[in-house]
Amino acid sequence: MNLTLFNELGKEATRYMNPENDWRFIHADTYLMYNLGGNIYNSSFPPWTRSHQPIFEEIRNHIGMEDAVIHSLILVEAGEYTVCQPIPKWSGLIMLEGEAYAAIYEGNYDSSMQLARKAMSMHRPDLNWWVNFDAFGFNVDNQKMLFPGSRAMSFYPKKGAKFVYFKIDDKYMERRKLDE
Amino acid sequence: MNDEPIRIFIGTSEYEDKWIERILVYTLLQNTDRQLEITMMRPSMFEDWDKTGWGTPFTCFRYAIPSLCNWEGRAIYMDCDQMNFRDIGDLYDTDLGDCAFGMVWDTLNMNPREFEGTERERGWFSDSVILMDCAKAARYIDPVENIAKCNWGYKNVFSKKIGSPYREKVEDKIVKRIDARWNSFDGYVTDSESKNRDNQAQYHLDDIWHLHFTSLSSQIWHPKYSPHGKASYRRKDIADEVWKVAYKMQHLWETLQ
Repeated sequence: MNLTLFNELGKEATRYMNPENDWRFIHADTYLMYNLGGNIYNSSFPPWTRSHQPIFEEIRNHIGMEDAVIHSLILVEAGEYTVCQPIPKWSGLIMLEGEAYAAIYEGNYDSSMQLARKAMSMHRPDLNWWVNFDAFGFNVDNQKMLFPGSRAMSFYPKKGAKFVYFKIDDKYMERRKLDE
Repeated sequence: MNDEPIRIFIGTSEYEDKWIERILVYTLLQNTDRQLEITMMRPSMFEDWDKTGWGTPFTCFRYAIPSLCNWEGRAIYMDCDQMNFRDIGDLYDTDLGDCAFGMVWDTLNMNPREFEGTERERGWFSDSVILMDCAKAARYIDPVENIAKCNWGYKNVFSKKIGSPYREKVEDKIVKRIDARWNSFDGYVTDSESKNRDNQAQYHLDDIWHLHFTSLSSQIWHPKYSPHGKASYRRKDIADEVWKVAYKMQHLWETLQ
């Protein structure tokens, strides 16, 4: 996977944009680039307007869904007190800088999300026996994408960790399942 | 050229609006040769104020301006979420006649609920840019201790005191209606006849004198205190202009570190 565009976007955004809030990444500096909600949000930040399509193409190619509808893309820089909401299915993280720990759940999705909500408060996730959660935990490598597909994930970035979060549109995934 | 420094008061947050503050102050200085005396009105300046029900961290600080100026001379108030395109001295020198305030007419301003369904439901002078005659303002603005204690904000009290929503009793008597280009809401003609934002006329970029990023959802920088959802900015030409200055400001800042 070519991460040049992601790294450039990460550098430029934290240098020139105003840090924002996002409900998914509590007490982090976030930079929303794209979101399909009630309104389509598409940032006017020039490096994003230039790299928006190639970045989406790179994600689509890497996850093997060439026509995927990407629902949201956010750049996040974690702080000391950052807490991440459970990462839902069909979402991915691209670790750009810093350190983070993650856990991917293997069990039933709804039960996993419930466990992941409780696990949000963990201070030392590396000490948890993830096997008891039907999950496995690991230190996240830099310059790689994590895309656990239909599984839930817990994510614990350390202060200074910089990553891109993206989510594939739920309606697209439903349509895709029906087509299969 | 008038040698008197232009007093400008900018309502802002403690730190969440630094990005746009830099753009506003930079563009104000860039477009004038006059001396500016700028005061940033931050919450820490008004710690004991009752801020219940305010829409922003700085909503009612503007009413302290005449008192801060010892009820003398002129002053301009502006919210921090703005960008200047023309010599602010031209606004400062506007002839107010006998009026205490100069403001832009906002056709879409929502008036208090009691006027819902009447012809006065919408339309009032916008207080996001105000040219004040501080001596004359004394007739309409309470002592600052009362403003500080005002529960649920002094904004409506002030509007009522100057005669809201009865335009015919106020215009050119208490409030001088100033050119709408001094407070263009996101590029729209703020005082246009249309009662619907989507049908309102828009200024060409070259015709905007002072721009207010009014719609909180679509503000390009989304301050952390804003509870609103995020929407795309509609005017690409304005967004490009803002980013141009944001880049310049960051380079200037880094050079001076």
